[in-house]
Amino acid sequence: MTVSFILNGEDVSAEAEAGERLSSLLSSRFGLRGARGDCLSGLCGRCIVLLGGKPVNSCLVPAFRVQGAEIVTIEGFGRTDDYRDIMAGFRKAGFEPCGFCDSARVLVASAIMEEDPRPDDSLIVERMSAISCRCTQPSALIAGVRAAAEIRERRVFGHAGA
Amino acid sequence: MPEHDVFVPSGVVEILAVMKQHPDSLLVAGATSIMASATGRSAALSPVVVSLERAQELKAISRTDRFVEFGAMTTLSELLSLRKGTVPSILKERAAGIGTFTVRNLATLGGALSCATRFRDVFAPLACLDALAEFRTPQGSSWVNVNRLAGENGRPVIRPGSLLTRIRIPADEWDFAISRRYGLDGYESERNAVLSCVCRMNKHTISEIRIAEAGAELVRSREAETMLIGRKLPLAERDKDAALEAYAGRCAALGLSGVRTARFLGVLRTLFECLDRGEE
Ligand SMILES: Cc1cc2nc3c(=O)[nH]c(=O)nc-3n(C[C@H](O)[C@H](O)[C@H](O)COP(=O)(O)OP(=O)(O)OC[C@H]3O[C@@H](n4cnc5c(N)ncnc54)[C@H](O)[C@@H]3O)c2cc1C
Repeated sequence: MTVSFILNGEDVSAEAEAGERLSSLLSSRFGLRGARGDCLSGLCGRCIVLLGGKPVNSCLVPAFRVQGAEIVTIEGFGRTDDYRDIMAGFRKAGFEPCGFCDSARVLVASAIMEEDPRPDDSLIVERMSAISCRCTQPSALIAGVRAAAEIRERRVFGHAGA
Repeated sequence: MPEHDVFVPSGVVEILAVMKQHPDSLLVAGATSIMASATGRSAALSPVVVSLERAQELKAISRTDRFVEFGAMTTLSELLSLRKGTVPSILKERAAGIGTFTVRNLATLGGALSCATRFRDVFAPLACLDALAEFRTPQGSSWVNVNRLAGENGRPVIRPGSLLTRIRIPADEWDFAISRRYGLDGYESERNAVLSCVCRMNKHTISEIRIAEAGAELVRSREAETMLIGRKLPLAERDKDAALEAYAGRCAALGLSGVRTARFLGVLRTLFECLDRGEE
């Protein structure tokens, strides 16, 4: 089947099997390797993308489901101000996710800040548990996302809250 | 490349029309269990696929004094985002334990109730809340107590050719409500299950109690529940023993193994202790 959708802001189409995983479609037809999942069962969280603005495991999304949908991958998200805020926040807090989980961590951080501009520790830890990677401690995750949220708040509202 | 006909109807009437025309079609909700059980880069789907995703009626959530009702396509994340008090806490707790939030953004309540391999974690709370499920076929519709989605052997009953449209949960108040998952294996394992219990009391006397355990099978015993009604808390040892015996009988009737039965009875004993202490 031909699937047409919006990928990182552009209208695109591709030939795909109806049951093909979105993760496979993105890498094999569009050369986007940021969502490089390999567990194929929604467990590792490495292949997270935004579908209609919400983070999902792209290995669990069949190609037919993206017809008419909007997909953002780390490659597209990397062009946004939110991305810059998150990277600045991570750097400020000394939080450096590894090459296995970095893209997914950034997308989940954006979703956390979308859900709550001043996220509490439990929300950060719960949401980040979508990615199974032992490269980092919960305290580092919390510090990284909090710093990112402050930077974002300052950029958007001109000040960071108490 | 295998060819599929993919239908994306925008309403229930349209879905039923496709189902009538293609009785072997595969209904797809969040697709999580379908994709997770596949290996390789594609999932093998039926030649005709019906995606339920665009049917707005299946996403409606409503609440009255007597019940809260979910369209089958309500995602687990949507259910969890509802205000405190809208959804019974034992259901919320179990929904929150399914996968990660990125899985729950896709997985639906209807999909969780329709998995044929085993009962999902939300099933036991729904069973002890006596939730109702509405099924529609091209011929008509019916409301079914979710406890009837288990067959004679306690295993999930698949209703081929039926579309699950709504789930209705009574908004009754309970004095005690608890739901625990046990067993450490992966979520598909036969060796884990959820035990849920709701209880109403009148001056330390049980006036209503429902207990459901669901994993590979659903275990519920109306006989044991009836025996517990009218008993004072803390429960006397003989009352506990009598109830456990009734549950052992139910397990035997379902043909459960000795190990499975012993584990269930052990968890039940712990539940009775929690009930004695009023500890949720
Ligand atoms: C990573 C991961 C972790 C998980 N962890 C857990 C866990 O801890 N505990 C747990 O209980 N479960 C767990 N699950 C399983 C999860 O509960 C199911 O995958 C999910 O509930 C299925 O919902 P869905 O909307 O994706 O259904 P789908 O995958 O779309 O469909 C499931 C089945 O139901 C049928 N169906 C769907 N909707 C309807 C309908 N409205 N009417 C009739 N038939 C229908 C489909 O044809 C299919 O056979 C996990 C899954 C994943 C991927």
